[in-house]
Amino acid sequence: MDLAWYVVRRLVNALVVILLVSVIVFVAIRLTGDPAASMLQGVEPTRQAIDQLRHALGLDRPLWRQYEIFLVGALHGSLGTSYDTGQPVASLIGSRLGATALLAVAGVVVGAAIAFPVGIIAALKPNSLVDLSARVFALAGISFPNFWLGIMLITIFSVALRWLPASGYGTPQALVLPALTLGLILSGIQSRLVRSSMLEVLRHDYVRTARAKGVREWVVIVHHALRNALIPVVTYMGSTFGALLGGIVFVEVVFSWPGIGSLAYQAVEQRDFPLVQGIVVVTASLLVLMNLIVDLAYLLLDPQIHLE
Amino acid sequence: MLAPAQAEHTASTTGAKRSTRFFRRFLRSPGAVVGAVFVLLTLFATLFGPILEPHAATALNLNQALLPPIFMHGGTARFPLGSDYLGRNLLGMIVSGTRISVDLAVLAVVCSMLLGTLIGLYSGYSGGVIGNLLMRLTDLQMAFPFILMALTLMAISGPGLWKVIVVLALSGWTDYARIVRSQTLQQRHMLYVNAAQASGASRARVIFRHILPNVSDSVIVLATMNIAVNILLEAGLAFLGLGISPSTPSWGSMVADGRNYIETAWWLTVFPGFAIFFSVMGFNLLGDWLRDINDPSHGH
Repeated sequence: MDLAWYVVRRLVNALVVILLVSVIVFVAIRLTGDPAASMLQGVEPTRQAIDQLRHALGLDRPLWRQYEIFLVGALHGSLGTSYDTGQPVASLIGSRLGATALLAVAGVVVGAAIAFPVGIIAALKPNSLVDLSARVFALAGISFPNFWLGIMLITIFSVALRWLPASGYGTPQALVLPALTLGLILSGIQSRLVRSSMLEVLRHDYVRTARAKGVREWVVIVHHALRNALIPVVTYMGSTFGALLGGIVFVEVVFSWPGIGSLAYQAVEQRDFPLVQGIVVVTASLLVLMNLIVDLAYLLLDPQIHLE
Repeated sequence: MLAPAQAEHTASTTGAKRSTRFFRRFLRSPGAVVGAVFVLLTLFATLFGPILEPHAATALNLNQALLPPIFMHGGTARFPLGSDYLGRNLLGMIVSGTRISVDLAVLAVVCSMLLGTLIGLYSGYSGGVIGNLLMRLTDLQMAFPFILMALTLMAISGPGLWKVIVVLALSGWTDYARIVRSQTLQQRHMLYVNAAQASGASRARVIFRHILPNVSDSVIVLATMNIAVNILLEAGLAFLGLGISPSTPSWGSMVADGRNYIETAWWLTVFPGFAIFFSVMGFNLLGDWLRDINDPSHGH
């Protein structure tokens, strides 16, 4: 089977997944409660007021008809209108994507910058004190509540030392603490992956051969071992996107970062359901796309992998 | 996971011998001991918290609001970790928060473990259209922005204990299903399974009496780690005000409340966070060790 056919099959698969996600979020929003009633919370709404709102929002139509309207709109690039602001959902999401992408990339870079040295050093001397510290560090990384880690960094670097802003957007300084929080969380998962993958690779004969040939140690590590250790690390990256997304939502809320995560939280708080729906579908599409890219990168990285 | 030959061997040695060996290995691992201490402290607070609490967690003492911890100037022994803006005892609140966080996490683990294991066993042993469809659902999870879904569900349906448990359970079951299925697929063609089938054992008997004991080690490892994940997720929901109820002090909502006093009363944020961290770390350390002893090739 050739690459083009594989990509086409994966794209079809991706479309099915996105459609399913949209159905699930659509039905879940409408079955777990009455969106109209929960929007009018706090004013003790009358039955009539709820019915009026339901009609105005189109929620009194049959479920399949509502979904059809949503789907036809989505195919034309429209994800509906925000209840709260009256703006198109698609442009609201579009205006926030850049900030989230910046935070995600910065967080992944910080995470990798911590995880690779830690994971490699730990794997070179397994069961030593260094390895033990690295494993404790990695476990601590996945045990910190991400929102609390953010608040602690704010307490230290903004409140006590006054070195960095606690929130804001647009300056390099404002990016430091959010990226550090996200990076620390990710480095826990990543350094475990790097360590176990390096351990696996260092056992192989070609590493021993390279050492026996008298190749310098750092060349053996970087050129012979790390290159091969990257393959499983990349494969598992797909499964860390969920953690990345969760981290982003909380980091954005804590630092008031103007991205998709804080938009989602506002939308949920305001019970702005078209916006929530749009964000879930767009995020799912991005996750599917990134998983596809990871799988393709995996194919390119390892020439031994054949498509089944 | 134990190989079948090894499994037979361990089954034939007496239970007492086996547990002594298990205990020796446990004592040799500092990580496991530290983890167990954290977990025991957490469970202790869960079980005996209501009896031990020096002051009811919800008792108000408005004239003793925002007292610092005992080791700082102005701290008193009555409020070892200080008091909040309503004069409530922070230590008491953290102890009563343990009950909520840990109970929820454990109940949700039981739900997702049962659901995921049953689906994994079924789809691994019987396969078929239904089995494959169920496994497709687990693929969906990879692309599912679960945290957004959880926020949405909690916002519409309103706060509530069982709602949080359902949301946590829904987030966890796929891991069990995937691992149990892949191991069941391996076990299905082993000699002992063939023997059981040949001797006329029913499908349910083969699955539950013969296959389940051989996949249960991984399930236990996963469940231990899953408790940690659930404590974090529940704390996150509570932090955003989407937990069980704003009036019940849980660790996450305590961090959110304390944040407003971060410049004057740091302890209100720091200590509940450490409570989350240490209990999560405890379950993670234990889970890590359990995984290592079940799979000697891993990590060493």
